[in-house]
Amino acid sequence: MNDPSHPHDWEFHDEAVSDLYRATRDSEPPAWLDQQILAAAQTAVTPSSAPALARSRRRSARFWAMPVALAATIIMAVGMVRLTWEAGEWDARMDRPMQTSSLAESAAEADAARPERREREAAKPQPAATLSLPASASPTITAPARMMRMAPPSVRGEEERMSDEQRLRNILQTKPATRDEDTKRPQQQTDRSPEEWLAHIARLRQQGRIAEAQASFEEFRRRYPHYPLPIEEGTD
Amino acid sequence: MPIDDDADETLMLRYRDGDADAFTRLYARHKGPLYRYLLRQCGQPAIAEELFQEIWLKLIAARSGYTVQARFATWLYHIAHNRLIDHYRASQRSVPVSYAEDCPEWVDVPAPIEEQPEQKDDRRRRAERLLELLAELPEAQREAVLLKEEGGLSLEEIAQATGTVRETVKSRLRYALARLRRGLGDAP
Repeated sequence: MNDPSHPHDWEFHDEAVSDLYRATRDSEPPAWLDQQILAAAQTAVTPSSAPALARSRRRSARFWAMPVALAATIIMAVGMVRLTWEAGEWDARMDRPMQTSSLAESAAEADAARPERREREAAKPQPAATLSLPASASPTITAPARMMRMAPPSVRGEEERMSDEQRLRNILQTKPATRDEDTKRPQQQTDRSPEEWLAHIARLRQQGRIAEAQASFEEFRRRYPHYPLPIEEGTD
Repeated sequence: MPIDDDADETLMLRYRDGDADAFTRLYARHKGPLYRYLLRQCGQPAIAEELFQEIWLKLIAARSGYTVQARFATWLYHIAHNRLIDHYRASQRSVPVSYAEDCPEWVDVPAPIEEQPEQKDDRRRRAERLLELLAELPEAQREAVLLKEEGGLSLEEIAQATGTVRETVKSRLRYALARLRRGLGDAP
């Protein structure tokens, strides 16, 4: 480490002594001392960068605050739903008839305000609505009237179709009766023998029902034009 | 003064600006010479270690005000010299007389014992003898030798580090080398 630019007078420099002295350079500070000093040097320059590091950490914390909060919210929500599901409260809450009953009750209350409509509903056949509920659904007592009204259009169409069929069937059953009524009298007249028919006309005359007796006689002549009439007194 | 990228002064400036690796290189370069300087000036490893640590900590603490006004080694050994003087004052109640200008002790120092001829061939033994002779030197003379051999300081730099003048350093070195040569049997 001698600087050759510095001239060393022999009075102040002896190369033999310097060479011999270099042979003695084996003493070094202990390793623990090296570590302490280097650590101190490192620590001394660390505080100058500490504020920047702290700002960087704060900035980083602000950057991640929102995503972390969102993730935490999602995790908590999923966890709560899962715990509720595993505890069975979810199924119980889902199957609880409270809300359905409340709907049914409110519908019933609304219906109670209109008695005539209520009577109409009562007159309707109930099994159609009941059959529309699934087997695992709530009991029949929770089957609301509103749900009966809210039965599928196909059910209502079936009811209407059934009542139309019944009405047509009634009409068909009435028509032949009317037709029998219309044809009953001539058939009774045609079923009689000529003698009985003439006897019937004679009784109508004796009862004073002359017009009916005359119409029946004209019908008899139309039916039996050549049947010989008995000679009656005063007929000619 | 012009300095290159690997110079001690550049490393110290980089450490001042927060480069701890620069200090590591600087420390590795100077730890041995400084430690030996202290060890041979105080003679006790424990004290040398304590002084060694204090000197480096003082240098670390003074980093923020560091400017290149002299060679780094000069600055380092100036700190070491001052700490050593403090140690002398604390342990011996006074600064050694050898540090006085025109110290009369220089003349009164006894001449070293002549080495035996069989020991001259043994380099290791000669080196140990040199250390013994060095330890017998007055503190100021020994310090001048150590700063020259360990610190690589010039006469002017030794004067700066020790707070004296160049002529005093020359005198100390002259007397010191004469005693060492005589003790090693190399005296003309």
